[in-house]
Amino acid sequence: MSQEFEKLRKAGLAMSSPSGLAQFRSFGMTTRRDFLRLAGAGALMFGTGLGQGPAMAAETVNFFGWQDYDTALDANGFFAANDIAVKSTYMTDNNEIIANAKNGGIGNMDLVTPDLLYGPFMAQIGLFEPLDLAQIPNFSSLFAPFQAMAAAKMDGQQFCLPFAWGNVVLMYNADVVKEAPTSWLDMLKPEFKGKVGLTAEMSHLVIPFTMAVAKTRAATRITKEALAEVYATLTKIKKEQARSIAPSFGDLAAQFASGEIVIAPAWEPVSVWAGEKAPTLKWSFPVEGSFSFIDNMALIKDAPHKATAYKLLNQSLSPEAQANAANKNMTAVTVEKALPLLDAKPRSLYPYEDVAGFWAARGDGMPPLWPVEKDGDFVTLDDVLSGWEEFLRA
Amino acid sequence: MAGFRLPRSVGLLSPSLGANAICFVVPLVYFFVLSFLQVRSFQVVFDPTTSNYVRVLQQYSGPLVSTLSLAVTVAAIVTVIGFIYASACRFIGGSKGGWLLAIAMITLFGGYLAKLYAWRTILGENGILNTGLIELGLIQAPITALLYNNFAVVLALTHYTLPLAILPIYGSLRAIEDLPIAAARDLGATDFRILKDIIVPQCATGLFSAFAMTLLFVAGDAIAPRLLGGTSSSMVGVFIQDQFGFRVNAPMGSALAFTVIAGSAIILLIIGLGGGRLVRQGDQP
Repeated sequence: MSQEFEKLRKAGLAMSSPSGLAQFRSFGMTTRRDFLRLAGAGALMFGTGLGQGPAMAAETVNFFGWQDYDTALDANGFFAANDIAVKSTYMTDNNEIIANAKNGGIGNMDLVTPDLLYGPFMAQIGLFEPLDLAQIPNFSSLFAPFQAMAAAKMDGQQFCLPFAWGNVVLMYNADVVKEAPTSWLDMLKPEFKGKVGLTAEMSHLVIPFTMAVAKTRAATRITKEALAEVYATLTKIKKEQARSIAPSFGDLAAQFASGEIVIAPAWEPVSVWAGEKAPTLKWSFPVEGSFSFIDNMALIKDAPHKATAYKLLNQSLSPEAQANAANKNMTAVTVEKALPLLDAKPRSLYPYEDVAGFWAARGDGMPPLWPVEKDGDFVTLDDVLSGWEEFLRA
Repeated sequence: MAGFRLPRSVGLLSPSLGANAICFVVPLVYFFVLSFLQVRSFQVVFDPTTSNYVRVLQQYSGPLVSTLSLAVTVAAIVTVIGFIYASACRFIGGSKGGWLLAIAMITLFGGYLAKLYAWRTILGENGILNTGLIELGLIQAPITALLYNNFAVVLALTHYTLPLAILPIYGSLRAIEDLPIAAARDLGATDFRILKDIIVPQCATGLFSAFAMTLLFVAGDAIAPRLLGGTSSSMVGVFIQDQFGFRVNAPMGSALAFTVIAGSAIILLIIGLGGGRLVRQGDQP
């Protein structure tokens, strides 16, 4: 017997029989019979439910929207109590809803979270189902301005359910800026050179600065000349005044906290995210007007799990889910009954003492989206987006 | 007559070739085809055109040039530092060379984003560096030029890609035998001559790999310029990301991406040809 065989035998990898035949041990190789035996066992386990994890929920709703809006709906174990599972995909921009719905999402997606700038356009091009309010009894709990908001309706039918909101305000470090700024154009003041913060949120910059530069509240119905002037002003701020363009409001908060910026268009929660040790952050609503956003829940056309989706739509307007979302994300609630459930911080950020008055001062509340197709002398959405890219490249 | 039989090596390679084709070649071909299509009303329509590439050259030439310049800068810095470090591991570290290499690799732990945020903490106005310099009395006020500019982007990307570049260089250096170096030294060759004529030519592949890996990584990055770059640090990666996400224009994003790939390939071709010529000149007596 060879030396090699002897080594294998000592290692327990081979054995010899008196007949002289040798048997080698193999690893990982499976005979056809072994394979069939394993496959049969697997099929049996699958058929009997053995080997599965937790029991499958009755129905899985496909959610495409902002992160944490989905988990907020699970207040007080709502999903388990109602045998609902939610399969979530998160978006980074409203445009993605349109792209995904048009490219195979209709018939597959259930719930989405458009804002009221893009939402009406999405309803108009047939991406959403009109909502049957009889299946959403919590609708009557909405603050009156949100129940009446025209942008959430089309042809008398409700398409969007206001879920959360907030405002783009002019935030400043009150330890440094002693006099509250009153205009978006205050960011051009020489004392703020190198201390201005900007974010990469197109509508959050373009709409307020259109109000300030073009001097109109109809900020999405302007001419090309006016738009060029708006971007020229923003470019001047970017090149001469700004410290950086923050990729998110969280980053903007960090810049306020470190003292790197003292003034910026921001969202109210930035004052909380900056942390306890941050400078005193205050904000004003500039005289030219400001931009408020309202995020909604909407039902995608031909949603495959409509009945369960309606349960979630109704849940989205429950005080518990509303408070859950606000306490997690620092957004404002749209349901009055949620106010007692709010933590002190999120409650302090928004004008809850007079929600009706706040929205009345904003007319209907939301500007329409820039025209998608050519509409007289007005700039189109594409003009605005192209200008935005030019602004970023400048 | 014996039937046709595939060489055994083809059979062994087929799983990796298949995985490569599915995960790399197919998506690449898909996006290349996509780059010649258009988007109308948020939907890709089959109407072949070269207009995306024309737009890239007309509107994005500035960011393209600055991105590739920055990528070449980082790749050059990283290759030089990587070569010095790998040489130390190979020739000076002796039996501890492996440990030196492991230390470099350990810096890969923690992930990319964590490193970028760490650099913000170091370079910020209230960061470790400024605070330290003020404490030491070397400066009176924080240096604002440390952050939110290309300097910060280059620094962070150099830090991140360095360990990745050290590996191929070290691998090449390991293959160099000690005997020719000792012989050259006995014959009176200076350290520079040994470096130029023996070490560099023999580790040229490793140097090129390190340069190429770094260049390609930096040219496609969109995160470092967003977090550390200033108002004028507009790298193409940011616009590619915007085209795919914000503009929902995958064809335009693909055209931008393929232009970056083409630009990087041209740079690598020039470096490869130039480097090869230098190595051949070095071989001549």
